[in-house]
Amino acid sequence: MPGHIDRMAKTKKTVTLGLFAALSLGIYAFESLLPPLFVIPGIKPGLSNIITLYCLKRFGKKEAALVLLVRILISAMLFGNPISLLYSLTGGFAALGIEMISDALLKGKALHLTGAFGGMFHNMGQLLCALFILASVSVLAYAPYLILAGIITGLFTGLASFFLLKIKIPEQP
Amino acid sequence: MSVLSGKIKKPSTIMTAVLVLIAVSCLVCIFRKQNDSGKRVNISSSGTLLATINLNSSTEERVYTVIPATADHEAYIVEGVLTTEEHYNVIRISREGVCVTDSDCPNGLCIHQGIISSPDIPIACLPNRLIISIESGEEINTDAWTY
Repeated sequence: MPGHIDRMAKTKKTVTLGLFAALSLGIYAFESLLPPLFVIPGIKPGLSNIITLYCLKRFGKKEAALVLLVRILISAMLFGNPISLLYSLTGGFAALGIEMISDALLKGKALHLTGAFGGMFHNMGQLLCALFILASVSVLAYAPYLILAGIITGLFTGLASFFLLKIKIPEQP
Repeated sequence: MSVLSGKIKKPSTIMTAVLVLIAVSCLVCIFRKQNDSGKRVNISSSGTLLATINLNSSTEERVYTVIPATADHEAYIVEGVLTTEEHYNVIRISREGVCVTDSDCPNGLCIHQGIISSPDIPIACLPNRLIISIESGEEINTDAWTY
């Protein structure tokens, strides 16, 4: 029965994506336990971007967006507040958007560059959000620091997901 | 060089160049110095300017508390320490500069920023929507910032 197999495949995909969302959430929780790296708010490793990039490459755009959305919503419910949800959403989807564009431009190669653009746009998205929430242009003074930090951490997460993609995950029969 | 003479075929080359360009311009922005004379401290919460205090060598040491806006009241500033409200930032201003000495925010980044005395970097407390920035009396070179 092809319909049955279709449904099986769909269920399997849902479960796999759910697992990746949980993994991403775990990494996010771990990261939030780390002490702040720098005195400027918003500078952090962005390790859960590894999972977002991995899902984008392995499953596709829609699936990556879904995993990201689930991670952001649950993390806001567990550790955050409505304002931090707003920051996460703008940052996360700005990053995913540019990662899709960059990955298409690079034809799937040089994932570290895609990661760097993602990190940069994540921080720029959050800065834009801060600009509206705080209604003050003085936060723009943080822009060079945040962009630079985004590029550096993005290079790292891009490389990390590149090596993660090399690992063959055994298929369950 | 083949990259300069022929057509640039690799998109990764262009994108690396773009990234390097952005990174270098960020570094230039960070290390560019601004002159500071006749400075003022601006304290604002949720975009409302609550107080402007002159900062110079004759500034006396003072402590203020900023209470962010809630559903019940607007944001306000009082002199002295007031930590009975739900959210607060205690600010100390002295001739050396301005710093946040106490806050109820979860990560305390505003306290860790220490004393600031130049317009380069403001103190921001995102949970309490507080911005403390220093404004130099002279006009800031507007060609450096594009708002």
